[in-house]
Amino acid sequence: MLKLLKQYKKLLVVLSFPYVYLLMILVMPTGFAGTAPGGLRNVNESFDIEGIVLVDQFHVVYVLTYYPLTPFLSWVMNQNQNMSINEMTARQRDTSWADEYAASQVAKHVSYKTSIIMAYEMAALDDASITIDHNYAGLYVYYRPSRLRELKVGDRIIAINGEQATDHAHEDFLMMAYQDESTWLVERETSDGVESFAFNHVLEEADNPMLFMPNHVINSLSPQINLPGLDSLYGGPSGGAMQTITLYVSLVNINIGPVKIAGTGTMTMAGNVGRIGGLKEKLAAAHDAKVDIFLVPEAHRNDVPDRQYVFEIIYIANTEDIRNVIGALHDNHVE
Amino acid sequence: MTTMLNKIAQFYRRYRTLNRRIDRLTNLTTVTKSVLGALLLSLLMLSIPVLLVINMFIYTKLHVGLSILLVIFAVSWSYLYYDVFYRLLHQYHEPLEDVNTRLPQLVESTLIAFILLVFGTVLLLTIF
Repeated sequence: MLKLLKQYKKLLVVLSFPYVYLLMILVMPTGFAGTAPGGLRNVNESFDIEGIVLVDQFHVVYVLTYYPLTPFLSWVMNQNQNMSINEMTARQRDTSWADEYAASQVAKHVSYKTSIIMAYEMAALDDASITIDHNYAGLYVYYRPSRLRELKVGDRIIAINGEQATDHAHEDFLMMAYQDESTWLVERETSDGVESFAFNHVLEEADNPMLFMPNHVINSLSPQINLPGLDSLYGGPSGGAMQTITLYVSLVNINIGPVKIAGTGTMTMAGNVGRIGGLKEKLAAAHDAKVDIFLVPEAHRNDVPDRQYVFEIIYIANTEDIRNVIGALHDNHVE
Repeated sequence: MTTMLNKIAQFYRRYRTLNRRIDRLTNLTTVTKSVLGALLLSLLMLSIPVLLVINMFIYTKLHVGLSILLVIFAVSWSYLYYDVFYRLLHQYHEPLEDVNTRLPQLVESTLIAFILLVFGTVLLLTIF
């Protein structure tokens, strides 16, 4: 091999500098994270309600988040007005890709359950045969400082200092979890079933704040629902509002006509549409996908970039707004 | 049909004869060195374009094209690897200059390229 290398010595000397330079700009991590437009996913791919054909007009928009960016990616994303780059947050610096994926799956699971509960409760007002029974069961660990290796993203906290989550409202139980020192009863899904253990949490000054998601358990519901979307790689909380709308429209069987609707916004158990990340990128993805209507959380009214869109933007704040929008679409179609 | 089969059998015999001659002229140490050297050099050569393509995955619209490009890189890697491998082997054993190593090189690299192509195609069809 040395003989061969000697044969091409001059060429190798000339090429070695640009080679190492290129390698560095393509591999070296920077302290930046970037978000780029993704695409649309039809909400009806994620749910399957027994005996009901889900409507196909509604779509969630996903974005791609990368960190840490390479110098090359930082440069590329800086050139593109539909992409954004920011300094990595302390949480991102402390989170592995595996934990990030696990967190997005937890967020998706929670958002599915919230959407189902909200949609069934809304639909129950119109159709008494639609029922759902659920209760609050504690917290999912969404982020924990990496030093707490005993805890995993996705673990369920069902009791704190001996107090069961089922006896508390989510906000109260959450405040208990944020105490400086507390003992949690934690449940974890394993291949052998569910294992539970006690975890003594002591807050340290250097810790990033832990993040939790509410765990609502659905005890029974009619009609039955399956969640094929749980198997997909995509995940996150921002599809909540669109999922709620799709399920509601399908359950109540409202005809809104052949219109392509995309949107974004989390759904809370209080029935409010919450803030999301990557709005600019989501609008760009919807623009490319040529949707007719794009639903944006009311809280983002002032964040929408001022440019020409091929779609109509409608702002929604809560389930009441959702009902109004669906009603207006139905009326337009009937007329 | 028979002529075709005869041609294939003839080709295979030629390939085996050449392989035996190469085996007689080489030894395990130099082959190991050539394999490791070829792996190193071919991966170094392909790493820049592959990393460039991976970085470009930030564009969702390009995902299909970039994935196909990665499969093409994987296929071309097998040709590159065998080319470097036989070059190194020639450096270690000068008598190999008199042997037609082109034929075994093409046969082996095409075989590996075909396997990688099938694997890549199945992967692409599963993902997209």
